[in-house]
Amino acid sequence: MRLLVLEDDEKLGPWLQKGLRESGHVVDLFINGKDALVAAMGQSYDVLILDRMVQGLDGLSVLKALRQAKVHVPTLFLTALGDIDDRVEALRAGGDDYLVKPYAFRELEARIEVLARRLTEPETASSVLSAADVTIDLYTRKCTRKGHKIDLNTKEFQLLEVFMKSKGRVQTRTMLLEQVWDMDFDPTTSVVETHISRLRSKIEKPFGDTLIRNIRGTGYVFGGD
Amino acid sequence: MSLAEIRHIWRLSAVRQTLWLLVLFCMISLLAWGGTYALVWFEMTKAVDQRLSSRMELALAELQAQRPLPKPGNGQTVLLTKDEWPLGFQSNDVADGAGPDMRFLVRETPQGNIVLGESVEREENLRSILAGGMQITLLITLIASFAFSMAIAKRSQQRLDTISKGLKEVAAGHLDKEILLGGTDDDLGMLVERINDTTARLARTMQQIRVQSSNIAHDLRTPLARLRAQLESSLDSLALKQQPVSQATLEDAIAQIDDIAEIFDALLRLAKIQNGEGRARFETVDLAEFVREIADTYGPVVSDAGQKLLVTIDDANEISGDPKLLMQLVANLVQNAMRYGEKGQEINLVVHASKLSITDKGPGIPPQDRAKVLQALYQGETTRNGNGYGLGLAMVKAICDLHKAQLSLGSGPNEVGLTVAVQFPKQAHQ
Repeated sequence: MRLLVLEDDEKLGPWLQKGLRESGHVVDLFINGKDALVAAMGQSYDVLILDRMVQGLDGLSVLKALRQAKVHVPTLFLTALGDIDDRVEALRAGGDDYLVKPYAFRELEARIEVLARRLTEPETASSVLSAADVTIDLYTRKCTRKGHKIDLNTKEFQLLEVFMKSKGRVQTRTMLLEQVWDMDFDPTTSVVETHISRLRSKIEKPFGDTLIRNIRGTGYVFGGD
Repeated sequence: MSLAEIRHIWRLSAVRQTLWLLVLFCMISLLAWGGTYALVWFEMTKAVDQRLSSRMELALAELQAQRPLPKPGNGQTVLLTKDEWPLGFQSNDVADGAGPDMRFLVRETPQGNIVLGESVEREENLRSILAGGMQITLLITLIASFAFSMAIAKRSQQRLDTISKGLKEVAAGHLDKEILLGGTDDDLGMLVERINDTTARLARTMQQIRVQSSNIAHDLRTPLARLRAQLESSLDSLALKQQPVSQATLEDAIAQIDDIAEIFDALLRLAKIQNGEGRARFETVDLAEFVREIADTYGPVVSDAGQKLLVTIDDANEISGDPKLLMQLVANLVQNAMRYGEKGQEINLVVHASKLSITDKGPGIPPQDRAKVLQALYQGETTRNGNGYGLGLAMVKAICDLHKAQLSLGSGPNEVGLTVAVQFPKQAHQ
């Protein structure tokens, strides 16, 4: 993927660039909002990663200018401001995701994957999702695997829905908390782990195989290799 | 008095008020006295004119009877002349102001114009005496009321100066200073009471902030110190004993950094909630639905911990609140119940009307200590007892305050366990 990174911290910026390059992406690093804006206007990127607070033109202004110029590249904000209101402001300005410093590099990677996918695989209008041999109907909220009906409670169903929509991509714990539970704080108890283990016991155990894999230190991935 | 001093005096509101009052007073006095003066003058002229009229009747009768005109009395004149005179009453200075002022009545007859005159010197004198008297009283009243109002202005200015001085001290950071005004219990007295009240509240808030910042320092320093010690020791092992840094050490270090960031987040969030931010996100929350969501989320977690979450919904109301914060509130309470309850216990989550309560079967809090726990929450001192427990409760308290909900501690049925109850205010019907 071709990524644009706007980060003026002299250690974080190059570290991001190096890390993302090692993951196989092409990364252009900018330390100045104006240059980043010019580049984003002129070239096509898959995802923009903007720091909220940089010298000169800040990330938010860059994005506002881009959205006004009808450039709709998926954008992820990096910020030291962790406030709910800041988050809302960033999303309202046209941002697609928001990550608070300090973040885990894997968390960032996982979110970039999801953002890029939004562009290449637009959501289907169908209410039925199928992945591996699992089928869920978002309308009737029914789940079947290999023709067998599986009873899931609300949270388990929502979890599975998130996984199936992002098949083969890593979902981190925070991402799941946000999407399934609408939690923007960290519950110290094992909410995510517990529900995933319940879900797995229902959709995997009777069939003796593995659909949801735990990627140590990162999160979970459904299907794929 | 220099210009600057005058300007300073003019800026004093008490002085300005009295001066305006004086101006108004003068205007009313002038109007009243002017009116009196005009009225008196009018009456005196009328009397003179009446005398002239009756003398004219007499003169006309004499003239008709072909007798000589009556002799003029003292200060009077009589004249029969062929000269042109304007007819009727008129005032005239006979000798360009040198002689006494006269009033004339002129009537035309076949024999010529009868001109009757009468000196109005007496009336003029009366008039000037009246005017002089009025001027003197006006002057005396003016001086007296000016002096009096200045005295009043000075007194209230002194009181204002006391307040101003007191406020200056407060601004300089002496929040413990109280303004002592003394004197009567007037509007300034009430104002001072308010100011003292505000200052005291400010002082309390400052104290809370001080306590909180030292709590923050404490909460973050301890894990930072731990992290530092750990990294230092692995650096030492590397440098001195050539022992490589293990993956476990680094993972542990990252986990600790995450913990620190989390505590930091929680503290920031707490501060925001305490500042009342978040009220903008309030929406109508159905307590029944909300608690079912909690049960869906935490039921499995509690049962994995070998405990049980029992939910009772009894005639639940709708309340106004921020769903995310409410979720955090209940999440914190459930976590505490799990942590302090016994293994295998039942945790009861009950919603009744606008009240939400959670009861565990743990050791509880003795009645005599409950007030202290809540009191400590009020003073923001609870973050000190480590491992996030206090921070969690402080968050609960702050979220309750934001929602204007009443937080209370009690014991469960049969004096077993702890009941934490949150009574939300009844939602006003739109």
